[in-house]
Amino acid sequence: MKIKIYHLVISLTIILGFQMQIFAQQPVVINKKEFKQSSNGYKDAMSSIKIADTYYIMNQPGAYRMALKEYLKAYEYNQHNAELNYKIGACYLYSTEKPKAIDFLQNAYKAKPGVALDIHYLLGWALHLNYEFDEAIKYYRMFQVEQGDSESKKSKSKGEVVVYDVDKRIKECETGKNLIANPIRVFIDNLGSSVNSKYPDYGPVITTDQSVVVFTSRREGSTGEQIDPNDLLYYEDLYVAYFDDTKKEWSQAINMRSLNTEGHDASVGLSPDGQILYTYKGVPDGTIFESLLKGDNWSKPKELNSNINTKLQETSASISYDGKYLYFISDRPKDGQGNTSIGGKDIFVCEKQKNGNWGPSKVLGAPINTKYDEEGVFMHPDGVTMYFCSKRDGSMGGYDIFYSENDGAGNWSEPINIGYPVNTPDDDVFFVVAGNARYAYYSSAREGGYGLQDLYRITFLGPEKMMVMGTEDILIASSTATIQQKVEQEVVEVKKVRLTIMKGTVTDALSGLPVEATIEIIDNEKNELITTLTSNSSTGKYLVSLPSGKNYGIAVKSDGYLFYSENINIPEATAYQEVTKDIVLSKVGIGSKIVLKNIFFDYGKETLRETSFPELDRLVTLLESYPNMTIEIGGHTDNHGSLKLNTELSEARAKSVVDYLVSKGINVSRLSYKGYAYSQPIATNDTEEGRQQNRRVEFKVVSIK
Amino acid sequence: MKKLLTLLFSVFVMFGMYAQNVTIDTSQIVIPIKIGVDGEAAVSDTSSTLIVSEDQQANIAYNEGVEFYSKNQYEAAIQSYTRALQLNPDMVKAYFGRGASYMQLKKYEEAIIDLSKYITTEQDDGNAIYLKGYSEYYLDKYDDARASFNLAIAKGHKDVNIYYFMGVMKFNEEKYQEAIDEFTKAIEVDSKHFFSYNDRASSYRMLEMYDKSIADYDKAIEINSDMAMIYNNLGSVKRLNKDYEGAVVEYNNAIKKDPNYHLAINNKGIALYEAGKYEEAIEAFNQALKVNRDYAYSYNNMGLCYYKLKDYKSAVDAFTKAIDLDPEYAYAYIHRGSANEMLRNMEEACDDWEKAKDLGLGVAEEYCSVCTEYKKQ
Repeated sequence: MKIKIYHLVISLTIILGFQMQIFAQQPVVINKKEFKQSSNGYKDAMSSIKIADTYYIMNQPGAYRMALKEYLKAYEYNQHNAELNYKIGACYLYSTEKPKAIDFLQNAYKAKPGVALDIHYLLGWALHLNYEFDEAIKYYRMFQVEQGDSESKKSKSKGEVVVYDVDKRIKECETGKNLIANPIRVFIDNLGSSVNSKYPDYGPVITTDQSVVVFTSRREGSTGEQIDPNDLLYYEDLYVAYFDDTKKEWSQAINMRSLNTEGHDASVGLSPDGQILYTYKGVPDGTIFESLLKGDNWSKPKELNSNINTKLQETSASISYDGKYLYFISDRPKDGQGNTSIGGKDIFVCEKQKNGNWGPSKVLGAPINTKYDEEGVFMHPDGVTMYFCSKRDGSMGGYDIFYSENDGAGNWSEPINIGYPVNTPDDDVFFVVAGNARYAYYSSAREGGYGLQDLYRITFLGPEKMMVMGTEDILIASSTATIQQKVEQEVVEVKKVRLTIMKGTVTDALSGLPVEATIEIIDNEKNELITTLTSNSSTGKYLVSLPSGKNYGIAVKSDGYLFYSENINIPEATAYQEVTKDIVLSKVGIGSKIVLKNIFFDYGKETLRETSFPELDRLVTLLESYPNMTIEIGGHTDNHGSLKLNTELSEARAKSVVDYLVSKGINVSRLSYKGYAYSQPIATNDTEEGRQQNRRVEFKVVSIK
Repeated sequence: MKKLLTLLFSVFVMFGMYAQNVTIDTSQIVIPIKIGVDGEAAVSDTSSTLIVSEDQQANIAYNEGVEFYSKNQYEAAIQSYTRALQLNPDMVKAYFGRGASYMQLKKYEEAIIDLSKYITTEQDDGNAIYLKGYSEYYLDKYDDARASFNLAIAKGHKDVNIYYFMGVMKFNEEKYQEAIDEFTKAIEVDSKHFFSYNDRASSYRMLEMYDKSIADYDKAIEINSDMAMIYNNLGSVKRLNKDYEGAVVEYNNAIKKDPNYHLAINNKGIALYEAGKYEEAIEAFNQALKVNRDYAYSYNNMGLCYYKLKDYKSAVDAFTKAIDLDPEYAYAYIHRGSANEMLRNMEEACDDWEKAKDLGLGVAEEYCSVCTEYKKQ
């Protein structure tokens, strides 16, 4: 194991999860005379203390671990020394075994109430972390009284300014009591040994259909096999695992070698379709990178532009479902538009410019950002809900996970603490939510894991289900009829995800091979391009997130192919659904056809509705790019009504389409039209669904020179 | 004489209704009918020889009817009264006797026809009108019953039971304040009418006026301290008022009066459950099931206790027993679904919620929203 020190390389764990740094290093010295019990073993014990002390003052998680090891050796010699107990307790507070701190701190306190200036504070915090809120408050208050200042106390120690926000801690304890009294109903399941290791595994990011998880691990076998001296763990590497739908388990996690460097590489964000990965590197200065999945390969991570990355820390990023906005965390004092940020780390957003670059950053105002730190932002693909972590008031300790909803006009609702047991008195930071919002993924150091931090899946069970006791009384004395207590059905407001996930593959009609295609999502009502995605070239897979309340046109295009058109109308009230739609693209050739699914007529008439224009304009573009192509527009109906009427209607409708194309400058000589009525059904006429498919306009290539 | 007959008869009707577990002293009720056997009246009507003999036959048949009635042989009584009417269609009191017999047999439609015929002649017989009203009440013809009752009152028959039944009808129509007004009138007529106290208490309960409800149940118990039902009702109101300890005391009183009163035992379990004493509650539900092993409610309730104790497996077993006893028990399906959810048997949970939805519980639809992903598997 070689230790190589990188300048300014800080892992995400340290950035995000090192709450203790707010403490001063108290100059607590173990008095030799007090410590000595007998000469037997004294020398060894003292030398352990000496080594430990050098680590202890480094004020780094790894150093505390080393110090603890040595202090515990000295503890074998003398278990009653106040200062030693204090130091062991403090070391435990930095470890993943925080509750162990309590006994040592209490012993220290009993042996010598004045062992250290902050003993009450540390005791309070240890108890706080152990959910003993009332006891914790007691010690916090004692600390406050001692310090003689209820707001905060600045004390100088070795040149560091340390702020003790005791009032905030007490508030956290009060919040903790409330949250624990009203726990949320969840299952919390370890992702299993194929994903987790005995080393810290954290920062999961997922595709919205939960088929892929990318995460950060400090496990053995990291790129460069080197140890970060700050915490004496392997440098961060990115790992990926895939969910096996048939086995119902995660595949073995794989090191994403092409993305990892010898330094820290951490996962911070993944687009809902899993095609864009955002990573964090300690170098040069806490920077977010972007990598695109091309076929099976991730592109080389590219530093996001200077609207996002600054010389300060940028630590987390999440892209909106439509790819238009990037939410991220930064501790910059001002956003790109000159607005002052609110304090500590805040959530910022950049909008994608017409040229495809991210525009100037904008800090989110109240009620999202606070003077406390915000972290780990995650924008749900429903386009409405933002999950983020914050130390704000309403946290039960350190970072807690909150969510807030956008009203569509840019206003965010008051953030709500997601609740216990997901949130704990310790830091709860990385949190991502699946499209259906029934599942979320995060990392936790809870008991029963594979060691240190592990990845977990949370299943939200929602509010307690109704429980109705069976009871009856004979309320009318002259009757044997029993009267049952009326059941008041409490209507519990359940947060509904109004989102459709459409996914599938794009393949070539003849070969069946995957096709890399551009998928355009269009708002038919507004005639507006919502987003453009790309299917994966090696798998043909695609995934689009479609929030409810729009009539979507979906155009799938690839060079040399006729475009494929799909219409999916999702009324506002539509709840979460996953739709699988495999798309087959036909090469441009004589006789090849497209069913134009986004052409709409007035009922029983040939008048084109405006919502048809985006589709018709795609047709114009296609005809323009193949100037020698002649086509036929065919009108088709279902079998309701007479043949005569249907023939007339279908022909009139086909002609309407041709007229539109001509109005857009396509030479009429290239266009023909025909009304087929119901002579060429593509589905049964026995169901409404089938009839709907049969009512259509087709585009057929007649010749290409 | 006739007056006495009908009065006692009406009391019989009331006692006959209220609970299976109270034995009715039938002899007490039959005796007045015997008093009603009055050959004199029939004989005194004889005015012509020819008719006399027919009348006498009719009288004999009528007296036979009364005799059968007194022996609780109502079918035979009806035959005798019918014969009497065949012999003398003008003997309207036979209509009354037959109508009374029909009432005993709970053939209220027939009773109404006969009593109506009787009333056509005996227009001022408030009792008969009241009995007809009662028959109508029993057939849920509340408007007819109210008309009859009001007519009976107009004829001077201000029987406490008339006001009482008027109250019961209002209660059944969920017009609890109006019910209270009627019960209050009944109590004004008879301050010892504990039925009215009980039912007024129940009306207050429905209006969530628990203090008044408790006061009225207390009053009913003061008048008649033998009825397990009233203690049970008092317990339930205390339970609704979140006085679980007090509720348990009253349920225990009810159980003391009637150790087989499974409703009270079950309710005691609920009070214990609501007080968070799940183990004790389970004990009570087991006891209720000892008394009535087919009581699906107690299985359901026991299941909820196990659910609260996080013993989801036992909860599922209990809910299953409730469902076995009552396959239409929608809540038991909901509950079993929820316990299955906690056991991560999502497919079973979804089947149960689906079933509850089919049985008309709208809330189940919400629960089913997570089920699509489990169906796919």
